[in-house]
Amino acid sequence: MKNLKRYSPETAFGGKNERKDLTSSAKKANDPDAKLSAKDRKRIQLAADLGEAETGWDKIKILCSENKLAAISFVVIVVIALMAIFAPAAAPYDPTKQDLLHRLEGMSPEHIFGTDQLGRDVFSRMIYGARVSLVIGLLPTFLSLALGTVLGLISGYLGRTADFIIMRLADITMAFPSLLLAMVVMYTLGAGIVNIFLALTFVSWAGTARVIRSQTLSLREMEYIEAARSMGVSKWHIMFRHILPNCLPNLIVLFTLNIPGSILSESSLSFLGIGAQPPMTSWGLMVSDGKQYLFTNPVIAIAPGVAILILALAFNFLGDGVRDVMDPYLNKQ
Amino acid sequence: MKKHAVIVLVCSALAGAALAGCGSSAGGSGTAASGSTSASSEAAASTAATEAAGQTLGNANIDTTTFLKFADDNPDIVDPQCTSDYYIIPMNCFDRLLEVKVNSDGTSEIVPSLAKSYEVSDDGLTYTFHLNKGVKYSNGADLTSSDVLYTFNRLLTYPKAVNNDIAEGILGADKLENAEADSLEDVGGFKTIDDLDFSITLSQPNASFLAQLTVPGASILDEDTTEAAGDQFGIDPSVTIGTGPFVFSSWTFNSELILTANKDCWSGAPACDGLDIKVVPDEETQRMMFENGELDILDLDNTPSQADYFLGSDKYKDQIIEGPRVGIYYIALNEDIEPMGNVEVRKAMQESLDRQSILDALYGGRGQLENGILPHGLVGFNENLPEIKYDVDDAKKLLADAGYPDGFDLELDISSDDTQTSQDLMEIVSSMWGEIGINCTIKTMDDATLQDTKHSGELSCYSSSWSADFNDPDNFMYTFFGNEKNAKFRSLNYKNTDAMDRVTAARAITDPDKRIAEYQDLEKTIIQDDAAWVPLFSKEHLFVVNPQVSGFTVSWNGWSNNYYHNVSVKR
Amino acid sequence: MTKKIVNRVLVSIPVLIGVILIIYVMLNVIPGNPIEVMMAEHARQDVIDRISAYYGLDKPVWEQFLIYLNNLLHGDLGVSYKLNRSVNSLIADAFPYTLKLAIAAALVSWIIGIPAGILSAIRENTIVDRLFMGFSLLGVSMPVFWAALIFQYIFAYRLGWVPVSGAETWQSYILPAIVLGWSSAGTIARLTRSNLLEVLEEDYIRTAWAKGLSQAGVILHHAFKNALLPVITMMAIQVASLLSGAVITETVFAIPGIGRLAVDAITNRDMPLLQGTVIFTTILIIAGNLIADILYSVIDPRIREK
Repeated sequence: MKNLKRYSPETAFGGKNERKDLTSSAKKANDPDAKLSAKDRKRIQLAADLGEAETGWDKIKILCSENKLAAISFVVIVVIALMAIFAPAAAPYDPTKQDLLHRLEGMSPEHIFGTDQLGRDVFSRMIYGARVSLVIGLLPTFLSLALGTVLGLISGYLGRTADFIIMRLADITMAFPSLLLAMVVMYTLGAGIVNIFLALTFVSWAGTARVIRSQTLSLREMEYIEAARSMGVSKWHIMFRHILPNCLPNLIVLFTLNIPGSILSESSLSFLGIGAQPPMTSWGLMVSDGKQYLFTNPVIAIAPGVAILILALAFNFLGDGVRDVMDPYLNKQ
Repeated sequence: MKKHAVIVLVCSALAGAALAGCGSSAGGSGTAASGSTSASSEAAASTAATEAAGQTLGNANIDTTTFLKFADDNPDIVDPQCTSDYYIIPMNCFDRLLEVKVNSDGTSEIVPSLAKSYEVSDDGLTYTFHLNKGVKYSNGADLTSSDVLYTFNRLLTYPKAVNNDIAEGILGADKLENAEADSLEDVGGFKTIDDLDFSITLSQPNASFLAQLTVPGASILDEDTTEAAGDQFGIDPSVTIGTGPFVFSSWTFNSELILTANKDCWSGAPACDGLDIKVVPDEETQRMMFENGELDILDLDNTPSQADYFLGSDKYKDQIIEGPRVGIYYIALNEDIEPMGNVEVRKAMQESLDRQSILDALYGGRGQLENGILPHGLVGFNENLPEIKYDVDDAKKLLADAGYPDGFDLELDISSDDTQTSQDLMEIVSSMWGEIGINCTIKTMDDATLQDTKHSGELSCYSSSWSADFNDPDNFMYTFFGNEKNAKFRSLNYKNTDAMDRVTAARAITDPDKRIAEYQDLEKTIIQDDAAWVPLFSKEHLFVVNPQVSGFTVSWNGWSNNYYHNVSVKR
Repeated sequence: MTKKIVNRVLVSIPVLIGVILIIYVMLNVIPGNPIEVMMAEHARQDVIDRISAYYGLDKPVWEQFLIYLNNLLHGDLGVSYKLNRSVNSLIADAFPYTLKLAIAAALVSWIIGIPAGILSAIRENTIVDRLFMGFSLLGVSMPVFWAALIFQYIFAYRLGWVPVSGAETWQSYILPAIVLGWSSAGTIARLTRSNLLEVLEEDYIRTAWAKGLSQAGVILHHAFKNALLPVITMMAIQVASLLSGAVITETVFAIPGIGRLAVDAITNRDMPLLQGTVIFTTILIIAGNLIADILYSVIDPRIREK
């Protein structure tokens, strides 16, 4: 986390906030006596505590005691992730095991979320479905972040033609309504899990590219970058060794905040029938399959929906927590 | 031959029914529309339908309070010649030369309609028809022989027509299709005698020609209106004119279609004031609307997931009306894909499926197991066909004999557009075949790839269904097993050319009994001896009907598109 | 100022061309004849060929593209293979439904989001703050299709307060608008909150405070107005994004809008229709962004100075 010290004041979460945060931060920075809100004071205290913390573990402890909601969310995510990873052990039944004599059963000690239209255990299917939701939450987010970062760095640092082309491409991508664009990509590639990765990556790289570009633009004017340049360090080295580390806090925040969006997009695509395909299952597909039985056996449609909600909410709370901690203005103090 | 209304089959010769068929859509128009994800349209929930002015074609201000209300898909087009699955408008706003009537004992026969009578020449080639006098279209124009000529000409020449197979048996039809002639009258296929009398000559004798004249695609169109309407025919209600008991009055896209009673209809005014057909995609939504009184008739074929509820409910169980659905569900086995080329393997695949459990699980047991090709309710159905037994041990033995004691790997194909029920079906099949060591992998393809692969004969193993367009075994036998091309088109790749030659030859057998016997023998050879596919079952067609409705009957073949002439509703 | 607007409009043109090109390429690289796919079980090769030729699908792709482009220049989006109607008329029919839904949903998101943002800004870190922000975060995290199903089940089916689905009366829009609006209320709340917090730091607000004005007075008379300006300029963007976000809501509530057309087009592999709906919505979004940008620079003096 030592890079935080050199972190630029420019936060750029895209859109109009960018300008506001800039002016606000600048004003506060120029005016040390500015009235600080209680929350700001707490943040400063937190940053100081963090600075004093000896080990990473201490830091996590401080963070957890500071933002309980984020801490709980983190635990929830870890639990879901562990269940997904160890699904064969965690699931009480084989998720594909059919029992045609026990179809559409309600909640019971044997089947805590009942059974679906083929007599399969819904809870076990949800545990396996978590794999899809988590992988879809993490992988396309990571891929789009990576793609967006590289393009953003190139665009911001090299400028000129590269900048022009990349930013126009970003404009075009962002002009598309994202769910519709994902649908078109799925239409072209065909339904399926790998194609969801590609569709979601394709849809969401542009936001990251813009953020990283604007940060690169301000960083490249910093003295130490100028110095490196004058010492003849190659531009790729500067981009990836000097500028990129400074973008990391932003990237971490973007990462956590983008995950719920990916999870929800996947579930929407699956709900519409163009995402995950049987025999694979995902929570979105389970809601879609279960909705026909909303009256006969509501739990099989409700439970996977709640699971999506909990996971997305957890990532959102965690993202908010992470953002608070990474708040650049405070880290500069 | 004499002038009369004949029973369905006067078998004489080659039936012109080709591959296309009409209402063939797997499982009929019913289940195909029931999938939650593939539902193609929107619903209109409340009764007041007048708000959407400006988005409605036709008259937007019709009071539908007293109309019969039910749900269906949003159609692509309602032109009878251009649709192969949406038959409500063709059935109710148009008439055919002949119709099918269902008798009280469940059999059906062909009866006169626009044609009050006809004669067939001794060589079985020329059919002379006599139209009823005084039949008027809903716009007041008279029905004449030239309309019939126009109808068949258009079937063969209109670029978007999909039901042209109906007219392809007529002499010179190929010349029209190849744009070498404009009218059947010029090539000897049609002869106008006077305003009400005409004759049609076939290129070869064809027993099922009369049966084919009863299908929705053979609806008679008004020459002047249809020609003037151009491509708006079947889209714009004001120009979509027929002689039927209802008038197509308005179409609010993706929302509802309204048909009003044709009080001056030649065959008598219908028993209700009109039909209000709501476009409702989701099964659970349809159920909610039915329970809220927003629908009078609920088609359980379109809402299979709700069937158990209605059948089990004290309130509704007396409101169920049932009929047969003349169609067969099957699993295609591609003989070109090893080891399905081995007949013992195919027999093992037949015997290892507990078809009754599948029927119970997916359709609440509402249907009958089938053991051949011709399903219950079709002329030629053979109730003496031996049952394909469910015998896992024997199936294992067969596999071992075939040289696969440990089973083998098999790909099952489903389309991403399939309904949930058909996807469930394949999952059950995969699990049952697993019991005898067939290690199945379900592969989901998008529909484009699936159809491409199927038509090129390379699809591994899939499930589908076929429902009767007209009541003749030819509609089933020839479609699948008429020749190598047809068998390949559906990725069956059936190899017994001798049997296929006989299927084609059976079209020319003149004695009805002999012809049926031949079909039944062939059916046994193809399915029971050669195990060309796994026959599954046929379904019953159930409707839940509001007690205010009377006179509702299910059509002979169990299509969801019924004929509403005699249905009334009391509010 | 005028120059800036003209500039901004000019920049949108290449974006628009790029959008059309990308969509066209994506939808036309897929193998398989769309007519064959649509006819599925009824397919017969000669019928497929005849209908393909009718739609000009037998021509080379580049020629088809030129024809499409030419038609597009004349405002013609083509004819739907599946529905036999012009895409223009299909979109014209569907658009009013989607627009109504988007506006209603935007209203809902402001009704939830703006008070939530204000309260949590002036009551920072209190239970009120947490509750309101939590409520809007819940909306952001909720799968829209699932919420729609649950709402439909409870309020339409169980309680019978509103119609189950459809779009014929204004009551039909209540549930879809709440579901859709709630999902974007979080964005509005966050924006309002951050703007208000910032405005409260401004000199003139502190001056007002110093003059002894009550907190409520300060917020209502000074801060509120200025904080909301950027929120209001967001409207154009938000309505545009709701227009496209309505896909799921329209599907569940069976509203015959643009989103449903797009979903239908995908299910039916109806290329011209999908192409048309995507291009149409994208144009709306580009226009929305443009309007927002212009409004923003007109309203916000700080931007104008730069």
